[in-house]
Order: sequence, then structure tokens, then C-alpha cells
Amino acid sequence: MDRLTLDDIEALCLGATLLGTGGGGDPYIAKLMTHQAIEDHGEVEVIDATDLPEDALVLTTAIIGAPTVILEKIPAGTEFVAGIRALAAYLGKEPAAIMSIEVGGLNTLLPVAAAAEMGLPVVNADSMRRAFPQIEMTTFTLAGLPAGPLSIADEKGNQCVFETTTNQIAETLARTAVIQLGLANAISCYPLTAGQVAEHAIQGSLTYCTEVGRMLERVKAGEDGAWEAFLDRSESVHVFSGKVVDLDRRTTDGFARSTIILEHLDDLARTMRIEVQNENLIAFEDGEAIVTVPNLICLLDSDTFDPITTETLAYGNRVLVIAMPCAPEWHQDGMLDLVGPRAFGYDVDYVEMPR
Amino acid sequence: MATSRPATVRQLLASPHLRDADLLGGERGLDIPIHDVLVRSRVDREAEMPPGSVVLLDAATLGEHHYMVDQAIRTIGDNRGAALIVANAPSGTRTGAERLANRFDVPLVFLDAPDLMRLAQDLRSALLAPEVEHALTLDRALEFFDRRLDLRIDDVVEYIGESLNVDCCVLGGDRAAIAGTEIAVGGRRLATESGHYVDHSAERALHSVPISLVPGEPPSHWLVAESVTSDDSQRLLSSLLRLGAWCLTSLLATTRVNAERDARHRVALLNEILETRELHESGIQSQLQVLGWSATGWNAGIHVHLRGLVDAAMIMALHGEMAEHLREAGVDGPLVERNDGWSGWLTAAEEPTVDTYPRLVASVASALAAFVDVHPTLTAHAGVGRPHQDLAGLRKTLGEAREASMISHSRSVETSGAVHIDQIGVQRILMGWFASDDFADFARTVLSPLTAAGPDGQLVQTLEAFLDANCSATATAARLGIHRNTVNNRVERVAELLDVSLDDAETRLSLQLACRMLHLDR
Repeated sequence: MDRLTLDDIEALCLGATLLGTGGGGDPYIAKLMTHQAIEDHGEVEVIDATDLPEDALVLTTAIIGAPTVILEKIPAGTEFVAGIRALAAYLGKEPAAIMSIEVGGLNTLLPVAAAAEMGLPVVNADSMRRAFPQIEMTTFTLAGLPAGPLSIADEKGNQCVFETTTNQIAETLARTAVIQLGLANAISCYPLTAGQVAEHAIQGSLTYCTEVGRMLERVKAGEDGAWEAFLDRSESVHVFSGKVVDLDRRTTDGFARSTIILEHLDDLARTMRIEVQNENLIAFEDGEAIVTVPNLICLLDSDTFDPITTETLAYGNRVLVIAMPCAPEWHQDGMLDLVGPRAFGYDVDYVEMPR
Repeated sequence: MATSRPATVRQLLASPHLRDADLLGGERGLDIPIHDVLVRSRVDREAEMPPGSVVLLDAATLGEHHYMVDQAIRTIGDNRGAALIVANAPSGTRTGAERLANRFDVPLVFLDAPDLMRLAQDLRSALLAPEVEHALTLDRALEFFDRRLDLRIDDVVEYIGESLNVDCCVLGGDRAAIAGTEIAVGGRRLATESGHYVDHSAERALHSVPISLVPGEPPSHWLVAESVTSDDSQRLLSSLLRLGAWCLTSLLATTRVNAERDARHRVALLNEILETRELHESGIQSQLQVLGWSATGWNAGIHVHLRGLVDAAMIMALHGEMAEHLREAGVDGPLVERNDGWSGWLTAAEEPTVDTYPRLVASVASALAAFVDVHPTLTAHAGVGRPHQDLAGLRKTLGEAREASMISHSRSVETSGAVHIDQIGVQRILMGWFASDDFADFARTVLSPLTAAGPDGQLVQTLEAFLDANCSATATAARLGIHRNTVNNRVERVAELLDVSLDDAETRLSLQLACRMLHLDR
């Protein structure tokens, strides 16, 4: 993939919704913004980190807040570039490329829009290749790379830049600022060199996301063998087909928490319980955890094969539950401490991908 | 009576402690037996618990982690637990837990319990109350059985019966009650080996525990109780009966040992009186005093000859009973075990007049009648001697009594009775002679052709009856219940076999004596 065109947007958006694993924010608005940016500023060049000089600055942008708020509080569109520029000004260095930290949900597309607007290439990499709720949950943190300095910008022109000592404090400060600024703001963090990105980011995320999105489009179109091909390419496992029989949503500590109870479509005695904190984190079947974070738990509409986000899920929905393995770059020391079930407060052990 | 044990979740839910609880699911598991109540703040998939556990989960600390309730249900289901009680659960969806409870048949109960520890204690107490009651009941019984030096068999039986409000008794080897409320056991099965057996063949369950005084021997007694069927009280009944049987074994063994010791004393003393050539008067007198007996004055001897399946142990065991019958008939004197029965005597300061003899014989006879009434398989013949003075007289009167009993027995084998030595008359004169070994040999030889021809003794019986009936074939036929011609045929055959004429008076006398001898010889 050399360039990201208008033709790629649909597939990228579909893949991003899937990798949002129930959270990550609905990419619909981001899709419209990206569409507009490409129309206004032209196609976006997609490069690998190694295409850049090793010391070239790569900056990121993302929306930070609560997905339920983002759904209603539409971004102005100016805050993402403003945030990048604020951080660049603080660093005293212009960025050579823009990168997504989270390929999954709407943060997949927003950097593309920003890159188009700034006339910069976008790096085909990220630090999650799925959605996570907190900014320290990145492969960069595992590599010991700092999230700061970081900037927060709102739609009105308010900006701040933090220096932080740890990525956990970066999350705390950013979250605190966001709560005051309306729970839907732009953040630019992990200012890294192209060399650091090449070494520690998850490479090829945009390509992967687009590819998975395209395969899902073929599934949606009802092509023969498309479903099997999709599962095969993404190494996913179809673990359950069920109907939503109960849905409990509550917002606590700045997170949208939900519990989804599914009744199996064929064997009515089988029950699946999915625990959600912004994203789907653990799937239990009959009281036993069968898929856990950081592997992905994705819900697809059983008729349309559209990925379903937690906000749009409703009682009576019939869904397919698939387990997708997380990016292989996650499998290194410290993974479970950072993004395992216990990192989210669950008293549950990580389980390997079901077969 | 035992406290009813909340043996199942259904019963536990009915207890006052869980009155306000909500049962969300798992109704099919309500009748699973409960064995324990566990208090947990977490039940993960690796948690271990014994089957039948009711898990009380403190959900106040679960916070957002409602899924732990699901995990607990699954774990309890996998471990064959009894139920999950979730206390103080935060609000939130319960659908998943409810579905799982139904899937794994684990009763799921939600309730608010501000004092969780108290609830746990109450539930455990409710569950363990029967155990405590059981232990306390046994402890009280042990205390009762152990502390009382004068404890009798009746006390033990009465205690068990009253403790559990059941009919309870001790059965002897013949299945007749020897203590407690008589229970008609009929042919119902009783315990044969150590331990408790319950016969459910009738409406009321028959519980029995065997009592064997000698380990390994068949039971000599049973402690039995009848109760309506109830699992809770049956367990306690079983324990109490076994404890009671243990106590009764001790009491019965003590009784037997005492009886044996007393019998040994009595027999030794009597042997000394009867067998010693020269009586050591002072020594014997002091021994008589030890036993509370006397032979100073006029002694009238009594000898009871027992027939049937009799052995020394039985004579010893029945000693008390026979003494009691005699006492009730007014014959209240020493009674001593002999090989064939018992010997006893009555002592009077003045010489009894002759007209008192029949009264004494009648009393003894009534005592024997009462005795054989209880023991229909036995016959008893008593002889009564003349009053003689002091120790030497005692020896003499006992000899007379024994002679009289033997003659009484020889005259009538089937029916029991008593006879005075003076009633025997001329028979007594013959007694000394025909009781001799020489005459015994003679009698056997003379009658041997008859016993050889008819081993069932039919010819001897007919001959004796014919001679006793003054050679009247009609009277003999009536007595033996056969036809007159049969009598004549048999008599002719006897004369033929013995090669004698029954018309000869001396022959008849000899043969009649020989027939008497055979009775004694039997």
C-alpha cells in the first residue's frame, strides 16, 4: 500500500470497527472526516518507518475520552492538527510523518485525516493493532518508550502539554484533563523517532486493517468461502453464536462497563457472558473464561456480518462471537501485566486462543 | 427427639435464616444433600470444596466482578456442591448467573445479610444442630449408663425408650422379652452380627442390635426397638441402641458371672453335705450361714428332675426362675444346681406332722406346673423326702427326695409332677434294688428281644401298658389309642419273642420291673 485513497476508506473503516473489538469509538465520523480531508488535500502517502531517516520525528494523534460522549459530541476537526502542532512546537521540531497509536476504532482513521491536512505521509504501523482504553497500553510501554511529552487539545482551542515520568502518569494526567475538557479531545503522545517506531511499533497495521476489512466486505457480499478465508487470514476462531438475552451498561470511573449475556442460538442451555470495559475484554462460556484480553473478542451481526460496537448492541441482537489473536508483537515480557485480564482488575487468568 | 436436620437445600431455605432470600435458579438441585456450609469471598475455577457444600459468597467485595458469581456456580456444579448463596450482591445483571444455575442445577440464592458472619454461623448451626443433638444425647446416655452402680437391665431399656420415644425391649434367645415393653417380633429378621440392623418388613421399622456375651458366639439376647421410619431419628436410635447393647452386654455378663460364682458355691457345699463320709459340722454350718441358709432343725428335701434338651448351663440359667416359682408356691428354701436338675430343702424348728406332707407335695407340683408352662419343651419331676433332723438328716432327706423323683419320673415320663417318698410305698422298697446296676443289666437283657424287634419301643410300651392295666387288652387299647386286636397281637408277639407266658404272675412282676428300669435307664 503506497497511498491511501478514497477507495480504501470503506475497507479500512470496516477493519477498524472489527479491531475496535466492541469499543474504540464508532469510526463513522472519522470516516467522514478522512473522506473530506482526502477530497480537500489529496491522497495520503503510506510509508514504512524505515522509509524515513532514523531520527525523523513521528507524531501521533488520537481522540481521547468516552466513546459514549464521542458519539454525540462531534469533533470540530481542527483539534487533531492543533494538538500535533502544539507538541511539535514544544519539542521544537517538525514531524516527518503521522502515525496512529491505535489501529482499531475511530483512532485508526483520524491520523489519516490529520496527515492529509498536514500534507504528511502516514506510517503503516501502530502500537496496539486493536483498541485499548488507556494510553499506556501500547507495545511502546513494553519497550520502555515514554508517552510524554504529550499534548491535549479541545475543539475550542484549549491546549496543554505534559511532561510525564511514567506512561501510567501520562494516562492519569491526560484522563484528568479530558474530564475537564468535555470527554472528547485530541491527544498527541509518544513522540518518537522513525528508528524507534521501526523497532518497537506493530508494523503493517494499516495494511492488516484494510485487508481484514476487505475480506469482511466479501463476507458481507455473500461470496463463497469468504467467511472461511476471513477466519483463516485473521487466524480467528468462531466461538459462539448467540442472542443477547441481557445487557447491563454502567459508566464507572470514566469507563463504559457492560455485561453482555448471550444465549446460544442452537443449544439454548449454553450461555456466554462478555465483560466489557470500553472494549470486550473477557468471554466466559458457562462460567469458564474462554477468551481473554489481549486477544480480541469481536461481535458480528449474524445476518449482515457487520462488526457491532458495545454502544449499538441491543437486547435481542443475534451475533457471532469470534476470537482473534492479538498482534504477535504483544507477546513479550510484561504483556499480561500491562494488558492481561488482571491489568483490567479481573481475577481471571489469561487463556490461550481457543482452537 | 432428634432435631430435624436441614439435610437438603430445600430444607435449609425453609429455615428462618433464609426467609427473605430469593431463589433465582437451580431448582432441580434443591434436594441435594448438604454436608457443610463454606464461607468464601472468592470461588475461582481452581477452588476445592467437598461435595454437598453450600457456599456462602460475600458479594460485597465483588464490585464490578459479577462474573465471579458465574464462576462460583460452575465450580460448585463441577464439584457436586449443594448451593450458592450470594450475600449482599451489588445490583447488576443476574441473568447469566440464573441461566448457569439452571444449567448446572446449582440452587442460586441471593439475599441481603448485613451481618454475614452471623448468617454463616446461623446456617452452620442449623446444619450441625442434629450432630450436636446426637452427640449430646449419646453423652447423656453414657453418663446415665456409666454413673449408676445399681443400674439394671430395665433401667437401660427404659432410658432408651424414653429418650427417643420408642418401644424398646431386650429379647432372650427364644425371642421373648426379658425387659422393657414386649415387642412382638414374630419371624422378623434380627441382627445376626455386631451392628445395627433394621427390618422394614412391617409398617414400623424393627431395629435390633445383637448381644453376645462371648465374642464370636451367636447372640444370646437382642436389644430391639420399634419406630416409625425417619432417617434422622433412625441414626440416633442406631447409636443409642448400640451404646445400650454395649452396656447390656456388660450387665448380662456380670449377672452371668455372679450366677456362676453363686452356683459354684452352692454346688460345692451340697457336694460336701452329700458326699463326705464324715460331716465336718462346724465348717459346713459356717458355709451355710455365708449363703444365708440353715440346716438346723427338721429338713424336708426336695429334688427336681428335669427332662428335655437340658445341659448344665441351662440348669444354671433357669435356677433363679425355678427358685422363684417355688418361692411363689410357698416353698422358700435353698435350691442347688445338680446334674439332672435341682435339690433343695425346707427347714423347720419343729418336726412337721405327716398331714403337712401332701401340702408340700402339692406346692412343689404347682411350682413345676408353672415352670413347664413357660418351658413347654421340658418336663420336671419332683420328689419330696421325709423331714429329718440337722445335717445328717438333710443328707438323708435329700436322698429320699431324689429317689422319689426318679420313681415319679419312671412312672410317668410325659407329664410333670411331684411325689412324696411315702406315697411310693412298695415301689420304694424295690427302688434300691432295681436302681442297681445289676438289675439294669438284667432288665436290658430280658427286654432286648423286644427292643431289637422294634427299635421304636412300641412293643415295650405296649407290654408295660398291658401289665399296668392288669392285663386288660381293652384298657390298654384305650390308653394307647390303638385297637384292641392290635394290643392282643402285640402281646402275643411279646410272649413269643421273650418265650414266656404272661399268665405267670412272677413273670409279669419281673417284666413290669424291667420296663420301669428302662425308663430310668433312658
